[in-house]
Amino acid sequence: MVEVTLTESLAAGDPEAFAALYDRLAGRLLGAARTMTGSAEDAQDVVQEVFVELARMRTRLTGILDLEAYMFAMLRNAVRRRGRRTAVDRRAVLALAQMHRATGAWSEAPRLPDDELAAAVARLPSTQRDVLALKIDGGLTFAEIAVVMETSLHTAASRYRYALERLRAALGGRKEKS
Amino acid sequence: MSRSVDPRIDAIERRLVSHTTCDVPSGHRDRVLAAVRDVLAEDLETIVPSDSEIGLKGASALLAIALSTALIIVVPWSFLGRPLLPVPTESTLMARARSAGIDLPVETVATTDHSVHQPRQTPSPMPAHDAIRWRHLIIGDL
Repeated sequence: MVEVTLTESLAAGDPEAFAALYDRLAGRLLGAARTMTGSAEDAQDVVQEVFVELARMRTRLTGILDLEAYMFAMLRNAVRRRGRRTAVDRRAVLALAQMHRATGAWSEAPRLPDDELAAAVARLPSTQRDVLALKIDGGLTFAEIAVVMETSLHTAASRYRYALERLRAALGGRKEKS
Repeated sequence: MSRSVDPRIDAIERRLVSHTTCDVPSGHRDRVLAAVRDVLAEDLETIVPSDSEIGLKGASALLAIALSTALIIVVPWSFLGRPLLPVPTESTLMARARSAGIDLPVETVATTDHSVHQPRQTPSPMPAHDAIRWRHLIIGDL
């Protein structure tokens, strides 16, 4: 019922509803966007773009049942559009991460544990990286991820598993702390 | 978090999850919500036009309706109605002559389609006294 009320308030153009939605989802959206783009700055821009887009097409929200999944779907689309616009590839993302490390600006660097893992995540196929972002950063269930990525639940779960296996392979013989 | 049979994968997953603390950059919230408010304000301006805009649009609409009405209704009916309406063929001069008791030698039937400004081909003869009064009426020289 709360979800429906929030959706209706958003559709009506209530600024307080947008603030409430931001407070509820901004952290997770930023985290997912950062994993998807590999850049904290891009993530901030993408999340802003999502909220602006949401405000523009708010009248279409009345039929939305899962607002969170809808927001993450918008986020993924925004990341894709941004990727096409700026043609940022993974090497550029890694170069940016290295530059941030060199300048000591770690607060703006990718929020992943370390360079090695960040590099491994950046090298994942985009579909696997997106699943990882939605699951780890977004906190979505596989059912929600399947909706966001317009695929089956089984495919979403498989992509997540493949992503983890690739990361393990990329990290090679490094001993993981259990 | 899913559970894998491979402890190394589990460890990687835990490492990823452990670094997903949500830290919203300072100022981002204000920037995003300001952009949202701008969009909402723009849309409101678009949806609800000002009074002057309504007046301008209303005036244009009224003008269009008036022109359409004139073209569709008034003009055709005016053409249709013309033969049925009495045509005023009596000039001011002739009216004054008639009020002065002069028996004009031309017909002044109200519904005739003959112009009073065109002389008849076969005018009737005018009596002499009427001719004098007629001349006086025209040029004022008695």
